Amino acid sequence: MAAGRIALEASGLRKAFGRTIALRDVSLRLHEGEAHGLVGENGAGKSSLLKLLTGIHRADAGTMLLHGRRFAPTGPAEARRAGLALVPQELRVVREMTVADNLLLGRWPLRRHLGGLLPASVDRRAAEAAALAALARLGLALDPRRAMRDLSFGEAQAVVLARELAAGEARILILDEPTASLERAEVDRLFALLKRMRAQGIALVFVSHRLDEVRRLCDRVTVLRDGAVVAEHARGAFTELDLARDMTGRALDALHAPGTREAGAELLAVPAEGGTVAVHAGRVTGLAGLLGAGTGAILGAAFGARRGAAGLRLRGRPARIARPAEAISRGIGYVPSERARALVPALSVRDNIILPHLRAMTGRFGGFDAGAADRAVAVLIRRLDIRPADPALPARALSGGNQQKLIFARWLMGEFHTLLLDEPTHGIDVAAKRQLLRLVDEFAARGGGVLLASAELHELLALADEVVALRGDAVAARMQRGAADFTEAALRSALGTGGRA
Amino acid sequence: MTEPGAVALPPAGTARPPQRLRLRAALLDQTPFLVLLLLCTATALLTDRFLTPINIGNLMLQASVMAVLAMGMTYVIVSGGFDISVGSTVAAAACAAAAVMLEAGPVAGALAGVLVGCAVGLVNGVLITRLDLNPFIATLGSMVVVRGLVLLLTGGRPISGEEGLPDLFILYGQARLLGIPLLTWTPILLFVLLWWVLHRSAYGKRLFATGGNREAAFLAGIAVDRVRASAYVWCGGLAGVAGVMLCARLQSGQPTSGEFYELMAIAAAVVGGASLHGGEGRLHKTIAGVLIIVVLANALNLMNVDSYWQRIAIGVVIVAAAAADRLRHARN
Repeated sequence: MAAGRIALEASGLRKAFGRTIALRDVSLRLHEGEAHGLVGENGAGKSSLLKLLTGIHRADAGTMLLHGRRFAPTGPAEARRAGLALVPQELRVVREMTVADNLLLGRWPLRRHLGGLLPASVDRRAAEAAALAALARLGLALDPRRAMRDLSFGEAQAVVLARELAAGEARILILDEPTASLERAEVDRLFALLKRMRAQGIALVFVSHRLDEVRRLCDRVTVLRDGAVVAEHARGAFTELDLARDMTGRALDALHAPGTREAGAELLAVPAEGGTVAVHAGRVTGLAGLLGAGTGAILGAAFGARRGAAGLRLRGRPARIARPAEAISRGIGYVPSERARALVPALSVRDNIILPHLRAMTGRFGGFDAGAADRAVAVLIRRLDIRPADPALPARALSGGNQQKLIFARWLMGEFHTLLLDEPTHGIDVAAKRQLLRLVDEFAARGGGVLLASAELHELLALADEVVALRGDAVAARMQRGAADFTEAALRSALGTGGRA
Repeated sequence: MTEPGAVALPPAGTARPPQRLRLRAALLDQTPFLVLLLLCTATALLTDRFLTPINIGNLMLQASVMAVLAMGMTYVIVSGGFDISVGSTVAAAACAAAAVMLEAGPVAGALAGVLVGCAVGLVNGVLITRLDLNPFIATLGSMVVVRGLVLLLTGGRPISGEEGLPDLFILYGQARLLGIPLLTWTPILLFVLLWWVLHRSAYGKRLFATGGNREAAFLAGIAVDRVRASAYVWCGGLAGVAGVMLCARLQSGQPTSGEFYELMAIAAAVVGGASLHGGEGRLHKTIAGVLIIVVLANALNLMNVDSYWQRIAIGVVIVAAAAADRLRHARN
């Protein structure tokens, strides 16, 4: 896309919190109609930059020009009035209202009654017409009368985008991890929508950990590291590995494929429609499925986290696991797909790690061996490079990637033979991702069995010895490492997403 | 960790906050005690009746019953729950203790009071975990039912027997050891036990984990329903102890006693910084919360402020403490 006029120019932005410097001399130039990628590891300064742009924080130094005029918003509302809006990762919608209500949230066309004597009411027909027009502008065919809660995440996101455009006549949209909860077909649909917006001269800032999407969508990309811009690339002039190197400051080897691992004894077998999903000692079993498929249910059932765990086999014998406590006492660990489900934010890093081991560490009179806990936790913090390396810090003070490492650390303590990992690399940066995948590899190399569910098919193919593809709740295909069909294309067609929507 | 002579450079992102900020955080952490200190200093300057032995004795007695209740409330609040039935439980325990005592002696009476409290707590815990009732509603129900039962069984009359309660029990309500009333020794000893259980034992960690994120606790193998229910048993049992103490102080089981105690106990826990979201709270700060409320009421009393104003002042303190809690969370 040809670069238009400059929409936003930020130069020399600096921001410090106490002695921690979040941003040092950051400059960013955004053209009209441009999609601008913003990437960096967790803690590189992306969030701080977004907070300066939307006026949540004020810069200590530096200037911002919006369409050539000085821009110093005092908050998101003012930034929005000036034409700059942020779409956060979690959608802010009122699920109990209709699409039209949400699209015009707070700006409903009103009808006065008795010359203003009675409270005004919403002019439903005008609202629906306005909503329809706003949707049409983005080429969306959604019924404005539908209830928001019936929409898929992708559809709801489209409504939010339409709202931002309609509400403030936004000229600049910042999208924070917009594809994190989308499946592939929905990503394609979102990108088509974004293309239409750019054709209308709207500038986009695309913040994402998904480097392949950044490469696909963005005209230019800015890489942040330690609060500074370390690289800027134009479309076509970079690869994902370039970005990863810029972000981490070191060359990353591509995920190395493990040699074929020896299949050990069967540790765990979980029944599924049309077959079983088995975990073997020393092997990684991959579980592939689209968003909404039964991968999470299989992992949850094997851990006793949800009902329907009939027919489990543990080391070849029928077993019943009704509660997580039973799974844990039998050496099975679980990392759920959402960190929020596993982490106790107010509890210290140490207590979060030892949480599943309390029973094992409890001595007489209900006290527990604090010294042993401290020693074990110190080793894990060092091994997983959890930062800051302070076991007394509350877990909420950690970045997302470090929180994920912390949840992982739980199961590297004590005698666990099987790990159930549900999207373990969801929403964490490249370096943390590599580290976690390496830990999975090591765990298998030491004789443990892993069941790994992931929407990142290349991760599965890089790590797993066998991949089980699920369609809905049913096993659709099994692929073995080394076989001719052990490819992303074959996996995609097994999942039913061979072509692009 | 660091070898002698080696320069320890913290890795990126681990820089500790500067000394000044750490000091500020440490002070902020002790807010309840600072407020208490300030309150005591101000009161002592404003009236010379504050630091008299009689007044201090009174303060200790008033704070004792409240401290026992507030410690139990802290357990429930840390577990992510709420209990407004403790005032009624105090009355039930006091009456049960007095009634049993007249028949079977002071020890059996005291035990009966505590057991009645545990029973109410158990019912609360079962209602909340098994029937999945909202804690506020469940304990609202038991608050009214228990009060009704007490009034029904006593006919609304105090229980003190014709010759009064046993001498040994009356002594417990009046005697002092090392200048401190026995009634005040009770929360002091309980505090040591309860603090260790809450902040050092494995059970305490389960309680904090369950209150801080119930699903995460469940996924870590913790029997969250049992832990939650147990918090109500602690709370009810301690309300039972408080009832026995009150019975000793009033030398009778009063069926109408303990009204508004639940609100004071909740207020003390909140003023002490326990978060109503669960998973946060420190027992010693709850004690500071109790003392703040008791000293505030006492100070207003000594300065002859209308008792209606006292209620208003305490209400303002509660709201201020809750607002401070919100601000603290917003900053995090």
